[in-house]
Amino acid sequence: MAKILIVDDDQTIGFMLKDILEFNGHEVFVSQKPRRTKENILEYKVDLILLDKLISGVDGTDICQELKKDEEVAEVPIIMMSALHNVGDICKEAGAVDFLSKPFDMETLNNKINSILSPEPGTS
Amino acid sequence: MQVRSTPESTMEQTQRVTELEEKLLRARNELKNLRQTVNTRNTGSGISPSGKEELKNSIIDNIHYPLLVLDEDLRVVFANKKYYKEYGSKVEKIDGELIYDLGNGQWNISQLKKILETTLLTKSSMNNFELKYKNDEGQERYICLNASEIHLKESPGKYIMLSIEDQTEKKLAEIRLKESQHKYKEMIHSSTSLIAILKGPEMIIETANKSIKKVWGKGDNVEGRSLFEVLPEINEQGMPELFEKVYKTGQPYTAKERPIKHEVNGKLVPGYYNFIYQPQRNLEGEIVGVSVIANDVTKQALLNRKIRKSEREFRELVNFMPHKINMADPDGNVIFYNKSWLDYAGKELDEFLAEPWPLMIHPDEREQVVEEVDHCLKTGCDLEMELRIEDKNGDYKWHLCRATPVIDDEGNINSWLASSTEIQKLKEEEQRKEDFLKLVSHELKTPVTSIKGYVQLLLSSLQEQALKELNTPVKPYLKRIEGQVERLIRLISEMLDLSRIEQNELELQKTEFNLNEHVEELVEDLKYSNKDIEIEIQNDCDCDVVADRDRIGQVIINFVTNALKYTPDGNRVEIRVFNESPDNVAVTVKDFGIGIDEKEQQQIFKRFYRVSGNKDDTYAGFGIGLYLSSKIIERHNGKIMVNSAIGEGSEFTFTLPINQN
Repeated sequence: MAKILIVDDDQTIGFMLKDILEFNGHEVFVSQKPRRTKENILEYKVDLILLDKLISGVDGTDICQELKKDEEVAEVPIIMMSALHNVGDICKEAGAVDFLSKPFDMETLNNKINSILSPEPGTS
Repeated sequence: MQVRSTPESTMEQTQRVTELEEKLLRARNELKNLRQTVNTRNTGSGISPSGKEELKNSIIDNIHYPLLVLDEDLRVVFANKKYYKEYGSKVEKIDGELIYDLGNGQWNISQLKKILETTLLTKSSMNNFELKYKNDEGQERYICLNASEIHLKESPGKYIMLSIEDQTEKKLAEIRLKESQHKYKEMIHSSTSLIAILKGPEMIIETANKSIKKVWGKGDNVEGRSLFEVLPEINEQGMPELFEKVYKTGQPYTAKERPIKHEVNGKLVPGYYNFIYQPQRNLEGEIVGVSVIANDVTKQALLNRKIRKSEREFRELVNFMPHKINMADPDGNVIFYNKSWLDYAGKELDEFLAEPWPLMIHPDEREQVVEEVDHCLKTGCDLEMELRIEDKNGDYKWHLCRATPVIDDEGNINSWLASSTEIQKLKEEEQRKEDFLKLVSHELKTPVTSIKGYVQLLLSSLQEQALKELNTPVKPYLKRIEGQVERLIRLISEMLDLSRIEQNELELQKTEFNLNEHVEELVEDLKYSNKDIEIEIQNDCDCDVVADRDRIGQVIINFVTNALKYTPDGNRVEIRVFNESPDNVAVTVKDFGIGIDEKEQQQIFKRFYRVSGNKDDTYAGFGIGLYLSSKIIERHNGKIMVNSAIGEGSEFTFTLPINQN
């Protein structure tokens, strides 16, 4: 089981994700402050981040890029999420390991998280 | 020109005749003087009788015209020198000869014979008798005969003194003059131009041709009367002043399309005339009258006026319009901008025309606009495009521009007509709408994501619990909620897709896949969420396509959900995959529902169109699905069509090119 940080300015989504992930046995932290992501990673020693693309006027891809450049936290995989269409590629270019399109199926969410946390042989 | 040159040649001839007449008169006077001199000398004394005889002979010899003296038998007794000279006879040859035998019978003229033999026997003299005959060489000659009896004291009987003046030259000149005058008159009278010659300050009508008389409408007998008396109606129209001016100054007056009213049968008939008033001069160069040469150009003038009127109306209309209208020559050079254009640009017409038009197009569109315009100029096809144009404040505003060629009767392009309509507000409105739509769908997605998540969480967590302990069927309810959430998500997606299509932002993610397998997977999913439906798949071909898998799936799902929606009493749908042509694969979805009226079949692929059932609210949806499907297929270079009849169900088909790359 892993420690997962959710960065989304929408509380409902944040807590819905928290509920689902906790149901699946993860430890979950929810943040609405994208600028504090690094501190949160270091403080809670998270294994995975779910980062929204648009958070209170901040572009999630910028945050993602900053984190990926920062040696201290670059290793932590990031899944970006958005309700916008056709932004998956942009997010992956910014360094996200995967992209989740809102609204999503719980099954899809779980599959994506599981494949990152315990990759099957042959996948990265 | 001809009309004016003729009087000059006639004048020359008149002058010549006058000269000849003067000569003749001088000769006569000379003769008269000589006779008087002879008589005086006869009565007086001082010259000897032989001297007198000499004098007489000398006088006779000096007479300027041929003279013969005949006896009663008409034989020549005497001829003067002039006669010999004129008619080439010799003394010995003619003396005593019968006049008719002279010069190869040149006087053997029946008319002369008659005069000599009858008239002169009864009368003692004959004056200026004119005679026409043909000479040896067959030329027509004119002579003037004068004869008188002479009685001699010494010789009894009577003698006839006959003078023969040749007047051929004078006569011919007279004839030529007459002919020329006749021709001149004929020309005037037969001319379709309106011609009149007016004399004196009163403008007495000397000549008026048929054409002008017809226009005047005052009958044939107008000659000899003053123009102003014949046409009193023109006195009020400023005409007397014109004539007076020409008559006094000698300056011709020309008018073009001048309106003049003539009173014909008591009614004032309006007409338009091109005319010239020319001063008429006599030989001394004094002005003696005015000639009028006019042309009735009423038809042309009325047409011109009509054209000018229509042109004015067109200009007014074009300037009145809020649209920007301009015209260009066949090469695309602008030749006219209407008021709306000038107001927009804040320029005067000349200044605006001098500027190259591409400069006012927004730099982002300029190159494309110039290219499109060039293409239209070359091909003659219509132009329609949206572009930004700079206004007087330097701001660019969106316009819808259209141009069409004006083709003449021969099929050539005469000019180009263009209209530009400002659509800035529309564009802004559209943008706001699109932005709003994007925002709405984004905002809607957030709560939907949350609902969906919790429903799915509940469903999976409930599996772990003892459902039987609950009295309510929780799981089916949650399934229904999940189904409706899915439907809501589809509607939101459609709205977003619509906005993308309107903004031309719908991007296709093309991959190669097997169409038959895709159809089967989709049908399985559909059956999974709706266990009641019967879907039969018929694969007539096995086909790989290169297309956007999800979008094609969207179209198939749209066809199937429509088929089910409009089959209220059943749930059977048939899907067929087949080769429509060697290059195209087709998918047909057939239902057995209410069917679509033929009229509505044309409309269903339009945006927001919904087939009306018995109750409008029976069929859910925005009326976007088929519009989106048609756009998606259009973007794949395929075709979408419907075949249906009321009560017999519908058959929706789309085709895709097989070799699409």
